[in-house]
Amino acid sequence: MTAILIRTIILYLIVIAAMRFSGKRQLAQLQPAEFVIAILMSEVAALPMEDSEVPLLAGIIPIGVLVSMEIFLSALGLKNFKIRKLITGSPVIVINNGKLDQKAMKSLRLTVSDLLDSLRLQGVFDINEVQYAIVETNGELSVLLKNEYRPIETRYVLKKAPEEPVPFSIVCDGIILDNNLKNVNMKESDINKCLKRKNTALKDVILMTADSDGNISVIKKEKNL
Amino acid sequence: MKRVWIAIVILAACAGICIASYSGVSATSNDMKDTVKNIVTAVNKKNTAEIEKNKNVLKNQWDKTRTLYSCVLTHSHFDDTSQSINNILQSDNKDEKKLLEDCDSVIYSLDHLVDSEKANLRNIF
Repeated sequence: MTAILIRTIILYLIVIAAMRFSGKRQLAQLQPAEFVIAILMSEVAALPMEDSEVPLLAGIIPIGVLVSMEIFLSALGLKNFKIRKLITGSPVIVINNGKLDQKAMKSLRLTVSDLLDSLRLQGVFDINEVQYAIVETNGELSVLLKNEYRPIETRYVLKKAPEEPVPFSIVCDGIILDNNLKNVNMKESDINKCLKRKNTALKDVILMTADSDGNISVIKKEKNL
Repeated sequence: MKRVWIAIVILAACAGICIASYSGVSATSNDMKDTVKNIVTAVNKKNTAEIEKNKNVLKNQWDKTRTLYSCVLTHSHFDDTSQSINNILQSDNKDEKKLLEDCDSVIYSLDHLVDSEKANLRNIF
């Protein structure tokens, strides 16, 4: 059993490294090829984890090959549009200018109920409100509402809305995030001064944010946790 | 581009491990097969000293290769081969029939190991 414990830890670390190496795209939006890779990787890792008869290498080598192939395909897709189209497919318009494209739906084997489900998940309960609906390459539905049903946007109300500075995290769990300090033109000494004014030690800060206008907010750790 | 290079390195490492493991298994099992064949010859010649000498050689060869085998082979294959080799090492030199049977069994096991590691159509499909 100790061997299984060690095997599991090794495989866990390898799968995490492989997923990180595949890139953030892997987790954020699964394309068909990436979905296949994610499933295969979990299956391949599970085999030597649960069956001590299978050598660990029989799990590690396929994971290495799968990740490498995924990187190659992604790189090829970046260089060549045709390959990208072959791997990821193309978005399909299922509601075109307010009209349901039944041919496109048939080619996607998408039923009206599926479409209505997806629309409801997007907050659209009446299909007549939709100008365009597009099934993206990752299977998600993008919806553009007709003009009269679109929410009012600031740009239509104000000629120019004032730009709000973006707040950056500069301290997280008592650790100063140097990279973000540059974005708000601050130094470590500025943080120390600010914390001194608030009578707070750096280690007691769970989150400190600042923006380029000098607005600073500090959230302290709760001591009784 | 950096990731592509790392992917190439990973793929090359995987291919390298596969080729090296096949070469290692193939070479060592051929060596052990030769030793077992020597035992068979010695048994046929009823040369007890030669049998004992080759048994020691086989034991040394097996001790050196068992780690490699356990890393790259399915453990049931490894256990079968290990059992067959132990049968030879522990067998009574006077019981020639049993010893020859054990030798045949080891040769068959080693052949099967090498065969199962080959990248041929039968193993791929």
